[in-house]
Amino acid sequence: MTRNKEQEKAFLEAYDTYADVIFRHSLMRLSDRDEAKDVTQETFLRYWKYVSTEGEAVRNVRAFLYHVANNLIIDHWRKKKAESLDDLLEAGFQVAEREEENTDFEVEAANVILLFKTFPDRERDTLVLRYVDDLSVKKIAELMGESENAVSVRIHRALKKLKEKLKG
Amino acid sequence: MKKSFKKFIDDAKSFSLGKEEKAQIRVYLESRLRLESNVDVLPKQSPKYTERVQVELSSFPTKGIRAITRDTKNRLPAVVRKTEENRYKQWLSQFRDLLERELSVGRSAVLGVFAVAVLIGGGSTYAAANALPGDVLYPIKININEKILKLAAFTHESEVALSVDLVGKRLSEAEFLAIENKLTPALAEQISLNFEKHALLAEGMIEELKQSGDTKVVNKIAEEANKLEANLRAHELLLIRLSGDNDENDAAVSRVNYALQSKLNEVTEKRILRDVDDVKIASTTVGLKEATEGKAGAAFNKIEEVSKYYEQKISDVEVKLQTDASERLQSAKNIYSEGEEKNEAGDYHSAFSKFKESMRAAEEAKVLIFVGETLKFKEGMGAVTITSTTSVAKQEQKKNGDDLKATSTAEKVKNKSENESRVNASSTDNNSNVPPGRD
Repeated sequence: MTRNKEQEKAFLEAYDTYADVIFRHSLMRLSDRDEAKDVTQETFLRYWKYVSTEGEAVRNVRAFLYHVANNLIIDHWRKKKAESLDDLLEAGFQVAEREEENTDFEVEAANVILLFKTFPDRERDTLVLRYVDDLSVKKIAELMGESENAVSVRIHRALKKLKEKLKG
Repeated sequence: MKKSFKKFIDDAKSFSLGKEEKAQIRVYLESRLRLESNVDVLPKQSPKYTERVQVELSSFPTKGIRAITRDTKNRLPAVVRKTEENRYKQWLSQFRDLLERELSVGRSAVLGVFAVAVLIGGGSTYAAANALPGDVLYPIKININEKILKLAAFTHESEVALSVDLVGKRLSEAEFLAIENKLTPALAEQISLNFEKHALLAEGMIEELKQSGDTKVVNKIAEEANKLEANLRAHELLLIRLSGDNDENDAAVSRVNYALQSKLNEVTEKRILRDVDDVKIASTTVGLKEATEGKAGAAFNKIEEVSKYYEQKISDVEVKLQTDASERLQSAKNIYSEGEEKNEAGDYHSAFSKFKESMRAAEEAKVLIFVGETLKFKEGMGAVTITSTTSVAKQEQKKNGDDLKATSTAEKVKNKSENESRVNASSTDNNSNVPPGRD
């Protein structure tokens, strides 16, 4: 297998492994399925460009993908306005796939998104990485470029806040 | 919302790409892996992609040369990058032809001049950039540097912005000369004709582009129209102060000021009529209430921007100008408060006008600070203490013994526009305390 083929294989494996993770992360931040898909696609495109032009494998693929996705989301947020639940649903906000016409799920999903949106970015990201993506504190700390202690404190604080909000 | 933590997290975990969605993206990525650098062959993507491409394309005409080349390389999807590169090459070729035609020089000289223009970021050579009327290098500044700037204006909106900027530059030149007691009647005449030409061009384009129907363009043009009027008002204040200590200088300053006053009144008349149209348009499109709130936001941001600018630069500005700038900024805030009161009372038409007026006052303060950074009054100069534009108009009237005929013209126009909009009749009382020539 040539070097190029090896790179392609590794790239597609990375896609199969991390596409959902990146998509979910983007969806939490963007609140729109199509936009989250665009960011996911663009994230992997940029990953491919990096790998194919630099010619080197990325040591921590997940971290790299998160960083690229975050930058794309930041670019996107410059144009995005704050939304209420009603605005989201009225504007055709979509979390579920089009085939699922389960409006209860849509509302539940919208509530999850909106609740997460009430957190500052880093707290939200930490919660999602810990409880939705099931990453360890150590891995989260590596990803975010922080100490494990800082991550633990943030998780503890954010979790407390989340549970209080869930109580209503 | 009561929900268990576990349920909440399970819901969040359920967010994922559907099988088909995941497969679609994978197919797309695989096809990209197989493409060579022929970037035009790009398969269609999600529905949002096309819309995003259109948004990106539409934003490009408003950016400068460097921004276009930088952005096309770094930000856009490949197909858009290719389109914009082709468009930029076409524009560049036209620009070169224009430059050759205007300057009647050979191709290598054109490229050299263009290279300088691009490298220095505007075309001005250091020697000619600060030349004043009467200097040997002044013709180079006017005929080459500024011509390059005009040719480099990629869009109509940037042409308007440049014209407005040049109005201010011409008036600043007059002020610099007046401070040095070098403003002769001949130079005053030359400067007056030049700034009138730029103001006329700006006004003409403003009127034309206001009909474009493109909201972005219309908003940009409204901003430039505001700047033009604010520039004229701020320079009016400065020129009055610069009445020199010799008769020739005094006469020269008066000549420029007379030209300025005439232009200011024309600009004000047109603005009053445009304001009426703006209100009509706002009422029929987004709704006057929403438009007023938008204008309130813009006015607030403008005041914030100028306040910060004031804090940063005020220590570099001569004392009397500090007072003037401070007073205009305070006036902007007061007018804004009045606008808020009108808004709360449901008088959206008056509120809309007030917010626009506050933006103009803030812009005037900004121009005063901007010019004041470099304009250094000599001792004893500027003996007339000016506290407001109203006072300026009255003092000039007293000084020259002239009737400000344009004021009555502005009043006539205002009355005409008020008669046309009967619904605004109740707001005319609010305009009774406004200085002459203003809304």
